[in-house]
Amino acid sequence: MKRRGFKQLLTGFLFIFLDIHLFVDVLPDPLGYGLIASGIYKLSAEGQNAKNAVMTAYILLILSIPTFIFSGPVMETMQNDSMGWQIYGVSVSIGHLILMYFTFLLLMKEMDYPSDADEIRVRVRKMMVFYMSMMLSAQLLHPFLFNMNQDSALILGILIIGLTLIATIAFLVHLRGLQKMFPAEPDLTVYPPTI
Amino acid sequence: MLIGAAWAINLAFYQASQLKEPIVLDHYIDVPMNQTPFFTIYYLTNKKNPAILQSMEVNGLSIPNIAPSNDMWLFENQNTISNSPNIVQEFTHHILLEAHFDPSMLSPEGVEDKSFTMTDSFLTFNDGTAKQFDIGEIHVTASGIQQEPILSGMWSGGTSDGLHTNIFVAEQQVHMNEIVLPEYISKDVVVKVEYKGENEQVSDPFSQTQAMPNWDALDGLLANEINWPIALNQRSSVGFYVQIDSSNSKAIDARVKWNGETAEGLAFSTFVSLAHRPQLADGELHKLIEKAREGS
Repeated sequence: MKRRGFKQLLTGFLFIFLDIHLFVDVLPDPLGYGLIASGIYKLSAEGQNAKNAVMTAYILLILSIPTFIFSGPVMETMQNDSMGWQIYGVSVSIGHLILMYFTFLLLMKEMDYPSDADEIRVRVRKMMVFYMSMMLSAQLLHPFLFNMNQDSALILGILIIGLTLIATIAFLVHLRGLQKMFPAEPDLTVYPPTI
Repeated sequence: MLIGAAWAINLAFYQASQLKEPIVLDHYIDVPMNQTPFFTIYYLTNKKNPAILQSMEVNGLSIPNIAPSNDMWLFENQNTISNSPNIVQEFTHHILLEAHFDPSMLSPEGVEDKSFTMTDSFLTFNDGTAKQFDIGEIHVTASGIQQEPILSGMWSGGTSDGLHTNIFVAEQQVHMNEIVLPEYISKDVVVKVEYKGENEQVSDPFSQTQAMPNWDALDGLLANEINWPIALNQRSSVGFYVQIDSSNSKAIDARVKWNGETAEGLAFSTFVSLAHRPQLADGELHKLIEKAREGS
């Protein structure tokens, strides 16, 4: 159950991280948030942080529907051209950080690990500090792009993408490590007897 | 909180930097109708959602901007222009663009050319801005009959920092009078004349040295220090050097008349070309924006 929960969580975050657009988003963000909500529910149905994370994931599921229709570059253009879409983009990014915050709290406080629970919690905490500081720095630097000349904006843009990429990949690898700690569930499928 | 404040401050600063309407630079243009394919108008507009100059009204006639593909460079959906040949300079929030106008369009076929002068013009932009703009001084002179040159331009050259050199050779014995610069640009242009005597020749400063010539190193005296008129015998030459401050925001495209007289007493004129494509320093840009805001 827990291993499956981690699998859904990983798949959901991968759906959000990757943007493959063939007419529509092949790995839609709303489905990603749906998988995250389902995965969190499987990891801890009762904890307060899990409940908050599930609720945030559902809000993001609705908020991210436009990303299913519009590709990344189109969304970027819309955000550049309209203040409303700009606010939308910032809201989704901040919403995502809130979801990450609750997810980390859940992994730290509301999960039962099969072994070395204290050590794992310390590792999750370190990952949380690393991830949140990288992503918050990227979020803080992002608005300065509007008022920079082209060369400086290019350097800052690369820095922001780099911070986001490193933090996300590190988090996904960490999540995969946590998933491996849980034993694979037995295959309960009943096959017809062979003759 | 900090992220919200960073967004709010940056967006507010960005909005405050946007121009409500384009700023048309100051121009001094004096061109003959039949010898110029186009004259250029420079204007400053927002980098995002730029206003592209579509047409200008001259003497009740509207003539279009003929700059190559003047708005096909607007990216689909993006409302930004990139790689356009009409971009003169790019800044953080603004771009300096150029628009070309064909003066021959002011003279319909079969109608005699008429000179005209204007200091403001009704300009129409693609963002809906359409109003009278102060554009400096523009003179388009009627097509004249080309005469055999008496003082011929032999070499001319220029550097990107606003230095222009012209070497004139006398085809016959002449006296040249003091050159009078148009008042509108008299403070923007400095003239040096290299005159060695009525039988002497001067050589092109560009051919004398491997390095680009600079104003201070050029031989000659400032035009107001010369004893006018100067005499030139046949095949003797004179150097005429012009320095326009490269940070000047005034666009100049003019043929300035230099009057003289032959030994037979025949008055004639030769023309000295002055051209300056504005390159705005950051300080100059801010001054222009401040001035436009005060004006509106």
